[in-house]
Amino acid sequence: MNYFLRDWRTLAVGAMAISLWLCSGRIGPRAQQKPPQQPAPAETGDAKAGEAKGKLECWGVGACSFCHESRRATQGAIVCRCTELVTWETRDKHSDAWNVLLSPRAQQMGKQLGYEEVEITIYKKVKKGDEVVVEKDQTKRVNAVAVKRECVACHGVVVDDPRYARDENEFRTATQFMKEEGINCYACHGRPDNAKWKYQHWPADVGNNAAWRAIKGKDGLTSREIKDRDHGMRDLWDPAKRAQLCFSCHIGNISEGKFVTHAMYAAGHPPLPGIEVATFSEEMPRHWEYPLEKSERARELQGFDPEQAKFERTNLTLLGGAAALRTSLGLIAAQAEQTAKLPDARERILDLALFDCYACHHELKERGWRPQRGYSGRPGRPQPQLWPTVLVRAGLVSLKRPDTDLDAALKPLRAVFDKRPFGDPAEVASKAHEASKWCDSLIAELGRSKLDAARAGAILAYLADIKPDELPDYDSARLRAWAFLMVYGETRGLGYDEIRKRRAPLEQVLKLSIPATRQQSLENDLPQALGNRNDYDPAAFKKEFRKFTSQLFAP
Amino acid sequence: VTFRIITLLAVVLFVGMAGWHRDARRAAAAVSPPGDAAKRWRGVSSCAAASCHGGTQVGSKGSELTTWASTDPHARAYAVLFDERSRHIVKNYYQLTDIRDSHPEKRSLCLRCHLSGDVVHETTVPTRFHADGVSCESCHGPAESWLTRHYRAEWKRLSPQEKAATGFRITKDVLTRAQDCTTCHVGTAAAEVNHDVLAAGHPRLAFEFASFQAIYPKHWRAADDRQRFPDFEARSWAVGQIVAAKASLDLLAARAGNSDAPWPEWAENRCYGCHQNLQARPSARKSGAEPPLMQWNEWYVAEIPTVMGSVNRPELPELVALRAELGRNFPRRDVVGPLASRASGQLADWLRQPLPPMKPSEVGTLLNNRLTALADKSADDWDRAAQDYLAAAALHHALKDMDPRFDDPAARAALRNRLRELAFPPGSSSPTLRRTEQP
Repeated sequence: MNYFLRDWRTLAVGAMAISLWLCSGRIGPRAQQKPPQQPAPAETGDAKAGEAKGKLECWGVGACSFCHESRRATQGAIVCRCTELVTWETRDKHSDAWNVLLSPRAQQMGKQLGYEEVEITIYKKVKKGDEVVVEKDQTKRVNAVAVKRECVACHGVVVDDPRYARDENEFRTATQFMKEEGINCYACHGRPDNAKWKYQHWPADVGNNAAWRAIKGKDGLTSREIKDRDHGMRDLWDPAKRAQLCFSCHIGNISEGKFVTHAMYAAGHPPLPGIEVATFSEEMPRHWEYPLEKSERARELQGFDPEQAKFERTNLTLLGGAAALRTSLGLIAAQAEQTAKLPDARERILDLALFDCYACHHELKERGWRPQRGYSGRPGRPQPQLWPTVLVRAGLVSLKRPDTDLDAALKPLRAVFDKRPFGDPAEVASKAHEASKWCDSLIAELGRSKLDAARAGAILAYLADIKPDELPDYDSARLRAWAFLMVYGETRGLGYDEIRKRRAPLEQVLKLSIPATRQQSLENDLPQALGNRNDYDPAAFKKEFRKFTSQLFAP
Repeated sequence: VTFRIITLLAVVLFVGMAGWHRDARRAAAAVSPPGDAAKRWRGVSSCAAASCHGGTQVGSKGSELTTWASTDPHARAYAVLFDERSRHIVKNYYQLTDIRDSHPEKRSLCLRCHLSGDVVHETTVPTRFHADGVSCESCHGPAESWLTRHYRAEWKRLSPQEKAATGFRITKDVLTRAQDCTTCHVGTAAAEVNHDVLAAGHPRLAFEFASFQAIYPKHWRAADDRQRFPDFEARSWAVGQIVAAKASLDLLAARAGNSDAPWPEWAENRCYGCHQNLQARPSARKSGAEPPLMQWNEWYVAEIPTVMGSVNRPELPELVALRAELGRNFPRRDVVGPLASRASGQLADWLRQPLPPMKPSEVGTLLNNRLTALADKSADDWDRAAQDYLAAAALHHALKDMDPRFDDPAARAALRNRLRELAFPPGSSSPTLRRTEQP
């Protein structure tokens, strides 16, 4: 083949690719798609009927793109801006969650975990005329890390239907689930067992879906909760529920098959850091608005108290903090329960990933800060991570309860880990369940208690005041700083960009920025992130944080 | 002369100050029931006469006490309990809320090594002697029955057994000396540094008799040791290895046998299996082969096959079995205990037979064997590598003692390089490998 011909073909392929990209709506005017048809009454609200016709009730981004992929906020839309997908697609790392399983690190991890190689088909969306269709892109031989349930549970959506496992295109339409989409809309907004809402929440005309909005609360549940329970649309407006959903992957959830085991970490999975859900949402960045950013009408429709809307982020920080502890206790309880059922349970230890990584993973130093700080239990017996307790203490203080209530609630569980390194699985399960119940009641109490300036002030004062004998570990220090800045920003009416700017002095002692968007590489960030942890000096953080907070409060 | 007087004054002042330490005085004020041990101790002052051991020439005969007081860290063993670090260790270990309640100087667990193995509870050694730290009687035995006899002519006529019957310990003997050191530097069931104590902040014990003895500021003449035993360095290494291994196995058996003791006891595992900073790139390893989480720390047994092989003894199958069992996440107490006891018993048998003088050719063979082990850098095990280094260094020194013409530049270079490789960065609390006379 002569060089001219080859170059010509390359150019042609390139031009087609650029055209497709332009048409895909990422840049340039958004591709016009067929407007959604209001489904026939038989299908509406009846997922089973859909299944009988061979339709899968597992939706992909395509199903949402009709309405939620505007480049600009849609006029007349009340509850949302309709730009959600653009934010997700262009900036949110969750859209790369499955693709990352094909990265060299993930593939190497799969090999070390002993996973086999499999052939997979990669699909892509192609615009044909007015329609977007799904086409086979290529088949690839890859490590099974890309299809393993334990990996995909967090890196995408697990679909049990065998038709998706087969190399068949007939079930794939642009609206249906594609593994390539990673953590898509459905992963968070829907429930796998019930997708009625997908039909029901479609507006006949933008801004008005009277039937959907007419769904009333009943059985002591709000309208949002009924939509969640009966129609399958997750109530993500509830801060604790939203946080628990995030934490199901970012901490773990055994019943959903989401758990990064010690073996996975040892094979190369990056460590899961402590997470403050309001800050992480901003860093994602969020594709939704807080109630205060919405119109009065939208707040009214969603049933938000206008006074409480002023403290939405503080509320999310507090409830998210309690939800983090609840999720980690739930994870411990579930893993311990599984282990306790094994015949040789007493001779087993729980998965090490349940414990504070840095209790063991630190170099031995002559004047290390850990002995200076002391321990929450007996020294030398690893305990679960401490960071999920930081904001629970702040929550208790905001309720005018002593923060030692938390110590009392965790005491029996800690005693089990003190009694035997890593604890007896059956005892751990029982005590972790008890602590979970305590945490549930705290979440309920926090949910009931209205926030006001005085409570927000008490939280800020608590977070700013690190006790003289307290030396927070790296994750706890980050939680404290993130939460402080979030509450401070909300009470002072600062946007997140301003908060980010103001926290710069703290970055000298603690890395508070996270490589959250698609434009930032976690792989490139990891050496520095781990280096910061290893070199972390709690005394230096404490000093700097005290200086930082006192300057903020200075008259 | 002026310098000597100043030194003497400094020593007297030091001992005096230690005695007058505020907290020590408070401790001494406690009522001490006059038990047996209390009667048997005579204290440092009973040795301090200028004509006995309190001379003024540090390092010389007749100045043993002065040498100890001015150069030996054991003299500070009790005083160190008043340091903030010690108070933190006790606060962490006993989970105290207030550091002012720590009082390491009153805890028998601490005193058993920072004072004497005679401490059963905090007052069995008279509190007026506590400030002396690990002093004369801690190693030479409580002096009640031999103090007034040991400087008389008749003492020299007594057999070692007769002397021992008075409570006097025969520290000229390498075996006794090694055994005395291990009671603290390896530990016993009554006085141990387990993983809880380590995590509370106590430094790691990584005892190796020959190298510790080499750097120890001696209050006796090192030449006397070499005169007694021409193979002194090699002998100290071989005997020290077996004694320390036996002590560690006895401790392991005790830990496994005591259902109240922590289990798994991670002080038995390799420190660096877990204690390492997380790396951005996981270490490369074979596909599908998850490395074992727990591995036995073989610091005390790494050299045993070599030592026992040197006198044609078979390798111990119990050590192989222990390696497998302690490699489990949750080793079985009832398997570990008997294995450790049996292995200890075999080492005791070895020790019962006097070690014949080692010939330079034997030492040379052992040195070459250890230098070969040193060159093998495939195993990722600092403890084994460090013991190989210490073995080669001791044997190298032994050969130099035995044959002044001995010179092996390649061996010296290999030892120097390995020492550099095994060193930890500054600020690390990991063991430092040192010898007084670097090869």
